[in-house]
Amino acid sequence: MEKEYVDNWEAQVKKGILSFIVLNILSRKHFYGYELMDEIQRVSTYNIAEGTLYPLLDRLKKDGLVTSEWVHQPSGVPRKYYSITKAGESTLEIMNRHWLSLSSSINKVIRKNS
Amino acid sequence: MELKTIEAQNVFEQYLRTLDDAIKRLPLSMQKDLRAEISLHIIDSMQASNKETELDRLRDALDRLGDPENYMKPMIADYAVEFATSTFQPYHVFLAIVQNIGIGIERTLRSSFFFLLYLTLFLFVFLFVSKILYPSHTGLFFQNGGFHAFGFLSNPQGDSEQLGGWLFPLVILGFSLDYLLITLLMKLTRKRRK
Repeated sequence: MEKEYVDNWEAQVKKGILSFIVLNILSRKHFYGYELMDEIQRVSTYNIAEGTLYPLLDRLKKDGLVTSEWVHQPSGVPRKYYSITKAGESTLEIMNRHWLSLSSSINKVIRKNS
Repeated sequence: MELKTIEAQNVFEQYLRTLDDAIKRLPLSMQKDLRAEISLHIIDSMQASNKETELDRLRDALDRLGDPENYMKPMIADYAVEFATSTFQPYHVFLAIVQNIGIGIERTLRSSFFFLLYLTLFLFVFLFVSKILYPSHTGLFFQNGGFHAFGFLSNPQGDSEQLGGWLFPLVILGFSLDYLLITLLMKLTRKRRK
């Protein structure tokens, strides 16, 4: 029962913050799809269907937070690179502030309880 | 994109057909982009896999990607709404609604069913209270020797009530069974969702 509850809760939290993580990763440099998924899995413990990433990137593009471009590689294989836009950067700044304030409040609650 | 073995090539093409089918309602340029992106993703993922055969590496990559029908759903629904609202064509508005309902249909059906069960629960309580306040208006009514009504009658003239005080244990039994059924179904759906 406890494990089931925690698993459900964890899945929901992860689903909710995936776009937040993607924006943070893209704020460092541009990435193509597979590379981005690899990076998400490296920095976090995400274990989601990798295909989920593409509709999410499309949504971020529609919202004007991310842009994409096919880039020809020396290897001959083109890659679709995703980068954060100016609007994406300012949105991310606000999101980061919210996250820090939220996590500090949660930490306070946890500390009070333990 | 060519793979070395026929088996792997067949599995790869089958996956792309499923993908094509899942995204067929998107604009052609988008379909082309997604097809190329997902194909490249599969190749990259195969290269990173430590499985021995090409077919196993491919299966590994496809497992990690997931089923296109599932992961493309939000995008298809999103696009349908966008297209419908930008064109204002009734047919597309209708399609968009159907797409979005499709996603939530299982949830909708489940909640409607639970709603009905809860409503029945409430009806049992109503019958119980009503029998105390209006005993002659509540119960199982027969007219001319045949069934006429069960529940509450505003005008029971010509009817004879059959249950009397037996209505109370019956209602309690019904309430308990209904409650048990709700709890059992809740447990089942929770397990299935997991």
